Amino acid sequence: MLQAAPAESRRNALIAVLSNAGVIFSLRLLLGALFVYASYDKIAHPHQFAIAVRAYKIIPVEYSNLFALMLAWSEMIAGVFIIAGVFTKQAASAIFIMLFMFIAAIVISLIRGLAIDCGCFKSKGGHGVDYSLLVRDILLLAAAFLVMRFERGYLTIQRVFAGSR
Amino acid sequence: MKMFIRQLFGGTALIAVSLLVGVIYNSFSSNKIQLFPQIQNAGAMNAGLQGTTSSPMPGDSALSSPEPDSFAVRPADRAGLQGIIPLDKARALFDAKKAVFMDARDAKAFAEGRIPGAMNVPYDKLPDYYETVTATVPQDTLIVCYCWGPTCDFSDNLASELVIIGYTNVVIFRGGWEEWQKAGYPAEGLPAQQPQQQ
Repeated sequence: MLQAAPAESRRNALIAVLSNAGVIFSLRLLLGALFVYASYDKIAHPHQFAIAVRAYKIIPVEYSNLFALMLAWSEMIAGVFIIAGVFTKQAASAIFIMLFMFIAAIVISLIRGLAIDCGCFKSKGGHGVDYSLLVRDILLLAAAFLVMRFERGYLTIQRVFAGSR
Repeated sequence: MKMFIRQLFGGTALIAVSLLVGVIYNSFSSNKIQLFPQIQNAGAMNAGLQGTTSSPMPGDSALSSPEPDSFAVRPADRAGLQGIIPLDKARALFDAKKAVFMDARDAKAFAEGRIPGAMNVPYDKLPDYYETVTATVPQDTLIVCYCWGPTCDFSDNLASELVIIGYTNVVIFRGGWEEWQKAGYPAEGLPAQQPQQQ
């Protein structure tokens, strides 16, 4: 019992830091900026991005173009929403789902030993699929989870329009 | 936990809406992609190939007396329906200058040695080459894809992708650079004599 107390307080302190409105706002900006930046080139070059999607050999070819469109636009819309604070939790959740898919795709590709371009930010000339990519996406997944869990409407358009504080 | 699952539903809904926005945008875009890419069926591909091979090619007996089936499109691996050609057919197409050879290996391997006149389209960097390929190679061109040799799959993957993009005459030379080189066929870009160190 005596030892439990400091552990408990450390945990509370950590939660207090992670749930801090400023921290969550920074994570929103980070995730939003990354996703909007990632989507721009994919929307501009859908053919190239669809090729990058097919290279993973996970999505059936027939649905690969649709999937590429979905991914590119989800990144854009979720990115804009999470920055602006419109449907913020839903946007964070969409980003969480996408990152989860990316992580699964990376793990599958690493197991299969595929030497492919990851198609992450640029539709062309990008990063290969490797462990650093996996670590990056896991960290981003954690950030998206924190926003889902602790977002309280700090500096969001929704709150501005609702007129509350 | 229940809250988390509910939030995931919200995220899924946002993704679904994004898909809808993407599909609408795509239908008005000048750079639109086909929503459901169709893999050309064997008939269409064969027709294209016959179109190419039956056009007059003076002096080309190797191609004009073809067992047409040796070029026939067979159901192949992942996505496409590509013809697979052996070394002698590859050589015949090379001599007839009727086909564009696409080397699916990386730029370094390509620089060190390739089938003369081949175009380097590394499969693992295909998005980088998409514009060049589509701008310079008409869709009905007969394309022969090759890579290192029988054990590499870059040529198959490249051929599949070319078919999906809309190329109608794609064949694979699985023997690749290895067989070509072993046969002593013409080559270019072989590393210049090693600097005389001995």
